[in-house]
Amino acid sequence: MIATTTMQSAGASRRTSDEAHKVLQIEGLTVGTDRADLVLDVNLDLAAGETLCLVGESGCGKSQTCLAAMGLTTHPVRRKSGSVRFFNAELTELTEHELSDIRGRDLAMIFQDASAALNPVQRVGDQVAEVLRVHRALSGRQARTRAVELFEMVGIPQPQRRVRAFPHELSGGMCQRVMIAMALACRPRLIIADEATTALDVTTQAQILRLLKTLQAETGAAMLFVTHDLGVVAEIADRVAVMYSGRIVELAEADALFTAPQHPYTQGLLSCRLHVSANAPARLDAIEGTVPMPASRPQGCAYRSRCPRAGEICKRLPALAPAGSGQLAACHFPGAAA
Amino acid sequence: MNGGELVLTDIVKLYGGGWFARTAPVRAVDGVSLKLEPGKTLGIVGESGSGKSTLGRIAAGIEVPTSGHVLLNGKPYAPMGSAAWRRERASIQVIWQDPSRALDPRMPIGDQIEEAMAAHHMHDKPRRLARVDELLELVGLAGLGHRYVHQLSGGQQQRAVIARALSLAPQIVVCDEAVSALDVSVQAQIINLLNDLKTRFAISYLFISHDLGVVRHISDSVAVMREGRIVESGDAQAVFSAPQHPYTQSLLAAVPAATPAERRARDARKIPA
Repeated sequence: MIATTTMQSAGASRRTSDEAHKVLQIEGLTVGTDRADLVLDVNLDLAAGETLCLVGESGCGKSQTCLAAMGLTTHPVRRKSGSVRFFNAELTELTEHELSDIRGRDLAMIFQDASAALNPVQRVGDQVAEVLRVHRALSGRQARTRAVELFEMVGIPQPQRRVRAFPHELSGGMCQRVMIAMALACRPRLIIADEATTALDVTTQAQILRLLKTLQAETGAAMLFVTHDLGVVAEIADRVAVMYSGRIVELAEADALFTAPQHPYTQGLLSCRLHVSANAPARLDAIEGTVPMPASRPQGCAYRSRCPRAGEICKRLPALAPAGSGQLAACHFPGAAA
Repeated sequence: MNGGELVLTDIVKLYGGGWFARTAPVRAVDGVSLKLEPGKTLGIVGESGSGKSTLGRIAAGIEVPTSGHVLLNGKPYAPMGSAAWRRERASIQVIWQDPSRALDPRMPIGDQIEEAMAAHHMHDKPRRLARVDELLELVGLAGLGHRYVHQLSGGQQQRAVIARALSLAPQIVVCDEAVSALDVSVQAQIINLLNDLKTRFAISYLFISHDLGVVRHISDSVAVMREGRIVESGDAQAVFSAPQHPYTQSLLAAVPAATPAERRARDARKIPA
């Protein structure tokens, strides 16, 4: 647990040394198919009330990390090694039956495409009520009443009427709110949100992010938020893990990541993004090349084929080690850009 | 190649409705006038359903407006489907969001670029093949002409689409969310490429996107759309640094902060208000 000790010495006061306070602890998680590894030796932990953002480009393994954590990998992808502890339970050792008892109750997931995640032929209120009937053993009537309350909580106007709507009758933003209501129905201790706001318009995205933060503050849930958008990270993250080609390359407090990124990949991501509030140089500092395919990942540091600092030593895999102001970076040459 | 001038006047596009329909038609585009200057980039921003894509299709001549005029270099488009209209297609090209669907999965990308020129009877075959190689090199795909779509990454696919569009020496390129599906690092590469091509060939771009950061960077002027109308337009720098219309202001305010420090500063400003 290098991660835990170093982050604590960085002075994160909300985190305590007591391992029991960890909501989620992922250790040495490797996920892949028979041919290639998609997630390699990932270590992560989350405390109650904390939001950890998992950032990276498509195919870097951020979604697979989440799915594997919840035991939701589908053939041919499988968890090859590693442990996932949720409070005191080792999720990897639970049976499917025990897992489904936890999923939806203590551990909730919000996906990107809400209209695809919802059942198109069932009224949205009934879908939320179903969660409560299964996990909380409420009667049909109690569950429906609670569904209306939940709709109100997530800011759906006219909740009495909207519970009777079908998913196609609602806008993308409203469907996402229904998903959130469903996820929060049993007051989960951990919310895993996979690109939960990516498909939404900016104004809706801002509302949903605000909503998630408010609800998190009320319930004290931990949140693992997967996104490729560094703007979203700036909005909600306490800590950030940057993934590249299956591995975590930098793990930092949100402020440190934005002010003093240590890994050249993080620096590249930050320098080529465009933001409305500022002018970028006429010619962007694009990262040349593309992310290697998992099957043809180079030996050692996977970023070395695109990295301006790469040297001979980069053929050896760099360990995630302390760098900069309290963060961890997996790089032989960490630090500010030359 | 020389950038063309595109003028749209009072464009209206209605969908649905009609004599026997019970519902009023949807006013997808509701009286839009705008001008794309030669060799410039005009950005169109708006949220989903604002009519920006419909406007792009009308501007490209692949959708007929219910009323209003589109003039390319002072001339209206020929009737859709006519031989003259098909000839006109070469001068105005569209780049869509999803390159994997814009390309033929069963044909190598080099052949697809050649086919576009052949369809317009441009050059003879040896010249076309030479042109394919030139274009592939221009977009950074040198030597990859024999590849199929599934053998290319998303960014490479979009480069192939750009090469195919350029093969016809267009005056105007309509980019409809052309970089939205790409990862940030690749997005920056494609934006650099589009800007290089604009400088080199004086192409005019109609750049449609919901991503305000990208539009600010790439556009000379910008128009903000909402519910089929343009609520604000002008010089891109001016619109983004000092938005006048309340809708533009609320749109910009909703954009996620650039850094956590900026977010805190914004939230601190909001609370006393």
